[in-house]
Amino acid sequence: MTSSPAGDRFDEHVLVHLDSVYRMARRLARDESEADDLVQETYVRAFRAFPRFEMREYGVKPWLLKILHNAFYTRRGKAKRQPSLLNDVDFDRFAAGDDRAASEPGGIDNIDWNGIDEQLKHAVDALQPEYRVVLLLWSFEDMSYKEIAEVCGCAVGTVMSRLYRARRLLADKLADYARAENVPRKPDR
Amino acid sequence: MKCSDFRKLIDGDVDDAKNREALDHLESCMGCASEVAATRQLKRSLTRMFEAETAPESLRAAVHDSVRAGGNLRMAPTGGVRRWVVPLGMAAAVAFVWLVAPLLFDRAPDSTAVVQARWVSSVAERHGGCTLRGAAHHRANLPRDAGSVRVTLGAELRLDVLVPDLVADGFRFHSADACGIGDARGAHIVYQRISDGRFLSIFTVPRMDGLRAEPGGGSLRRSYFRGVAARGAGVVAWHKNAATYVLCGISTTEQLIELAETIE
Repeated sequence: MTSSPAGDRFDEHVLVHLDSVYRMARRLARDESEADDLVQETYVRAFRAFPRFEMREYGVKPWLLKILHNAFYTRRGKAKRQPSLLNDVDFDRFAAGDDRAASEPGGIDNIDWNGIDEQLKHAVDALQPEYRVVLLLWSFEDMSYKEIAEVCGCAVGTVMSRLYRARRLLADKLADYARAENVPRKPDR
Repeated sequence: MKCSDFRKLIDGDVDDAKNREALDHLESCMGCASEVAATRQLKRSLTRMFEAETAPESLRAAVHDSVRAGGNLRMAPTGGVRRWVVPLGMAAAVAFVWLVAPLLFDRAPDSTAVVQARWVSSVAERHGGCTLRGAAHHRANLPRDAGSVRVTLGAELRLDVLVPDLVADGFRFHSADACGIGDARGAHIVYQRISDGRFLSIFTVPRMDGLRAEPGGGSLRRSYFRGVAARGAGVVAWHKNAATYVLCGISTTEQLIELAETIE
């Protein structure tokens, strides 16, 4: 793309992640036009910052997605950036079982996953952006907690909390759908 | 290990000791085992739903152009922001892009390096996507022994499909399907390392002469293409007759070449 060594490195290491950046932008922006703008803004910022980028522990993709994440929140305004602290810090309570257990009605393991793609997509889109980001980085980007924390600029514990909360919220939404549509529950094992 | 400790580990980063503890807990706790299965199913469903979503060509071209212009934003036809930018400034930027930039940047956007990097990324994505499906990756109507898979897929794809016996090298046959790489249809054979359960993919695709293979690296002095994808997945490819064979896994390219030498 460019004839400089830095340009070659940019092509090789950064442009190859365009589809990942686009997928995440689509899920964040919800509107195709805004997603396109976000992708371009991300790449322009990345290109300008690339001479200072060092291939550290996490590599290019988390760095690029972090730029996207920051660009998205710059547009939205920082006031809307974080879920409430209350939601973030209660992972220990969830994990300790004070919250409803997963195997109880409405829990994630009671869902029959066949034929509910559309409902799942709607449930993902209905999540707060911070939960959506963590969930999607964990699932289709297959990132570790540490990498997700790097992208979101938060602690690993916060990632775990948000991921747990996101899964629970999805389970609730899908359970609501199942009740509304009278979908039979997954057969008992 | 208590359930509360276990829940913090689900699909997270655990060392070997924690992993052993977690496995012990799973064997004795139906509730956590069920939650793990459901969590993995959720991950598979989300991956399947969104992985096919790729950037449209118009956006890809706009990003290329923006970067080619040295970081000056050029909106895709569908873009919605910055339409308020002062027309004079835009005119100056456009003049720079069309008059000056071509003098500075003379390479075509799809250089060999970019194409090959994309290809490595496609290989790694296929490897990751298929191994994530676990046993479901194996196509239902395919036999499960290596020899029969070779014959069946070979006849279907009209390729000399590589399905080696790697037990002596510490891998057992895991699954097979005609997944290919990117748009190239081919055989995808997955093996699992016996010692730690990690996956190795062997692809057979129609010969891809565009891949720039370099000589050396093994006793056979075959030319190998080498690449490393995100998350450290090594990719090694070589051509033979009408096919290109590709190894992909969490190993260095040197280790993969060593394995390729053994296979041949």
